[in-house]
Amino acid sequence: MIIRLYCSLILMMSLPALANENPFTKELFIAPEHYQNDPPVSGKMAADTCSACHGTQGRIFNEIIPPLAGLPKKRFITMMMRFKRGQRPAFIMNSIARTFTREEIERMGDYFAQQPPKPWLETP
Amino acid sequence: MNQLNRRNLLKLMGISALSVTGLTGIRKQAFGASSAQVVIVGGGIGGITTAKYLRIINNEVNITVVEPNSLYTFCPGSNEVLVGEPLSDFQRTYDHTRHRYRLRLVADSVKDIDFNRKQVKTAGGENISYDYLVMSPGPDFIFDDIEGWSRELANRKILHAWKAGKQTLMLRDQIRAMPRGGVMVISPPVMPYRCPPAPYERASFVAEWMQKHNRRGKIIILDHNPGFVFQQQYIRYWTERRGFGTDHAMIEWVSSAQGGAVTELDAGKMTVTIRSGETIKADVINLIPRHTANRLTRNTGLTQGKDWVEVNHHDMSSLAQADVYVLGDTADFYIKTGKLASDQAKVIAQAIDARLHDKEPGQPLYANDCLAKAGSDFGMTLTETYRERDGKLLLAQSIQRPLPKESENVFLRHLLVSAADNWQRSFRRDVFD
Repeated sequence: MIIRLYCSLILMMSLPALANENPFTKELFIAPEHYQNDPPVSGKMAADTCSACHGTQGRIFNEIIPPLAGLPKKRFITMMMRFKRGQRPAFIMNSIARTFTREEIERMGDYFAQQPPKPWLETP
Repeated sequence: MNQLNRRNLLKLMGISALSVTGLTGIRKQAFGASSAQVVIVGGGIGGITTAKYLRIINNEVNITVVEPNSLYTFCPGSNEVLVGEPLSDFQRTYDHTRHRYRLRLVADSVKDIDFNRKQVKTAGGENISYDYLVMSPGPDFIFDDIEGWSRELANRKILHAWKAGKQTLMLRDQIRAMPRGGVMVISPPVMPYRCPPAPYERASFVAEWMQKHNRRGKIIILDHNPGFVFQQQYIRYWTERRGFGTDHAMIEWVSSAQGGAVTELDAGKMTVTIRSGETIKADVINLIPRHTANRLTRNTGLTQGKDWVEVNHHDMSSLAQADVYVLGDTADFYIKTGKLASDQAKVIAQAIDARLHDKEPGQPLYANDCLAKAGSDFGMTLTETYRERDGKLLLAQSIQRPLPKESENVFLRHLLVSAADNWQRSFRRDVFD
């Protein structure tokens, strides 16, 4: 059920040009190649930005947005890289994936693979 | 860390399973007298997320949250209350969070802070010592920008409803009591204020409600800003559904460039005067006050005379005082949202834990990713990522969708509404569960 809903989120969309459309933050814009060589963000730090949608540690299992906890690392990386490159069109994830570097995606893959695939509240 | 192995190891070491709560590694033990003290001021999104995420990674530290209210009302999503959703959907007590994450909750407000003695003084007279202090007190509002308005008036008649709760219900009742064909004024303050799209979301939700209950009703947005977030999307939707730009427009927007900023209020006559000189009569006047740093941070010198508390964006530590972290709407951060406050909280939790282990805090990441609605059939997304270099923020990207072509896709529009509702639920769970 979750997987079916998730698939329905993935739509055939063309990617918008990389853009900063927020009139209030225009001067803060930097292109990804400018932080490519900055110190990478840790797997946990990057993964924690996902939890508002995907649940604490990626552990929401009863929502439209799918869980990430327990995803095999390789599958996570392949999926994110395809989102990043636009090879797998998705409405939200294309924009999100491309802000991460390859190294950060690998670290996140490690992190989520280590999280137990069960709802956050089921941990006593 | 392999936590299953860790649990087994603890068992082998003779520590009973009772003292271990399992896969999170959270142990149920009494507060260690020798453990570090972290005091968090404010039990909102920023404060509670800091407490929860710090506890997940650190079993030993003592965490105290100072918050005078026993019930928290989420601001994100609360515009839905204006059009009929129950306020209780947005409210949480602290009972579950406090027990699950072993927080000491002090039901009091903070009166003063002694940074030299590292003590927080509450209004009730308690002195709470800290090793690390986290300030998440929310913003303060400025009323005297608009002549004729006051805090007192804002509590009973000319409401802001910008801190969800009692005023949200009062504003809902004012909207319901509007005469047929009545006029509602909504005035967003100058940026930055909490949740930039929310005044326009409010206008959009109320217009949808009016379409059913007060078809000739009208909303005028009198803006202190030249433009707004999701402007393209909102204007598109209002043009399509609410006659925007025509003589029968249900929503009108007067930008600051058109002289839309409200300068004067006459609460008796129910009129507002705007910078262009025009005076507008309305049945409901909803002014949103300009924001500034919380009084406590101003009185204790954390703001150093500025509008906001300046922080090192590497770990959200105060530039004014050592061992003090500041986050949320009171901190100097370009955009102020609940999602950003929760990301700042996670950065602070990791920074404090790193310092407790004599390590350097790692590279932070702040993602202001947001799913919003223009109406019950139109969802929108904002993906906005902030990175940090040398203590300063860099905006890595900011994308607002759907783009014009995409918004022709009705299926997509509905899907994003479901995703936005999902976001509301999952966000509240990430903070309080």
